[in-house]
Amino acid sequence: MADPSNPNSSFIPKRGPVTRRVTTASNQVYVFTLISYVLIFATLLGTGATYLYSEYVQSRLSDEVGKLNVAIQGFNDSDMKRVQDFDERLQQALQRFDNGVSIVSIFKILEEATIDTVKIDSFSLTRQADDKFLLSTSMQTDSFDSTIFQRSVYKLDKYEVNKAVSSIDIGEVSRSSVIDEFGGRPELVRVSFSAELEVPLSAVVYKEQNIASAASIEEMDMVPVDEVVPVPASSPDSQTEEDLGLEDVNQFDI
Amino acid sequence: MKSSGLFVQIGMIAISIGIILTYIKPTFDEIRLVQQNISTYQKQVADVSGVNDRLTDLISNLDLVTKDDRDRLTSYLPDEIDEISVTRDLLLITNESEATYINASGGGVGSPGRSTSQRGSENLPQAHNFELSVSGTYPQIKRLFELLEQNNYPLEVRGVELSSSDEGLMNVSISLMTYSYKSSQSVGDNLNIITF
Repeated sequence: MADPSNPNSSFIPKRGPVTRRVTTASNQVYVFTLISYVLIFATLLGTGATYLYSEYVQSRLSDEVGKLNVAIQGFNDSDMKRVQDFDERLQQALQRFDNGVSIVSIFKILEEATIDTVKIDSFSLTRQADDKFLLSTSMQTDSFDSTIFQRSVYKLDKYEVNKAVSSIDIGEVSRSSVIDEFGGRPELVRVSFSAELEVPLSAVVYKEQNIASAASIEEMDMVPVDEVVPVPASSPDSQTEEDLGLEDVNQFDI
Repeated sequence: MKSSGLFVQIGMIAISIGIILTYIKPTFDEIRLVQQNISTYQKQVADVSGVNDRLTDLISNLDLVTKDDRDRLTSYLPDEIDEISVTRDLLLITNESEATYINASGGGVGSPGRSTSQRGSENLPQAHNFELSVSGTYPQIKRLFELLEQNNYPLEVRGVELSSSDEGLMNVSISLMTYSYKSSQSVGDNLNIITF
């Protein structure tokens, strides 16, 4: 029989008064777990932010479209047409005005450089676009000397003709004589020649000062010929008209 | 239990990637496109505003031009050439020069021609040809040319045929050209700056 008063007499093993070891729970955070959580939250936040920003830029786009429509509505077609018409008309007028030339200047140049023994039979002038004038004249004089003299005068730097005319070509020189029906002697000798001249438009541009008044033009016609055509002393062709014994002949046979 | 947590984490990552690929990235692309459009619109708004401001300035300048000046410009380059008026003017000019009027005709459309430096420019007025025949003395003919040059609209001399007659007068045939305004543009062409 087991003695109940003796605690060591029981067959049940007894636990001694040993202190229990306290074990703490492990709270380990795995990297993969962290990434997954961060990623899901970032994605959700990013989704929200993207949606809001998308709405914002859409509203800004709508604002800009509205501003553009307002600006377009502020554009006035009729005003633009008015301005363009005026500008274009002005440009076209200016373009023609800039190419305005003075035919009187050409006559004046020819007057100054044509000796008084030369008579102009015919005169033809043609404008080549806005570049130049082509002058073709048929002239008549009484001797070959006068023809040579006229050619030398045209080539003198002293005269405007040399500054204005870019090209001079004298040709088709011919001589004819009228026979006196009684004596059979030559009575009047005529030497005719043609002159081709090119005058650039820039040389005869229309200017107010280029145009003399009608009165001054008439005065110019009355200028003595020896003042208009002085004889160069150094030129080999230089001979005064008096030396040549030529009588005054109106250049245009008037 | 641990294995199910792992699957949840993998699922979360997969969902995140799915959201990024199917929503965030396309939305970003769309935003980039909208931003580009905003920039384009802003530039266009600036352009249109600039045109409007410039137009306002030009209208102000245009209004400063006096009516007389505008009338003179219109006289110099009218919208249309009245053949009868020009012919009458040629007669009056001839009478003023005291030369003898023989004949004047024309009104046909011509070509003004362009100098070498003007090639390529299409902004040219419409040309009209006229012919004038007169006779007179040399001073009268010179006076005639002077009056032609001083006319209030261009009477450009394109050709002259001059010959002396037995009576001591000169017969002159003059080819003249005058001009009318020719519009080369329509408003619609000029609105390209604000169409896009």
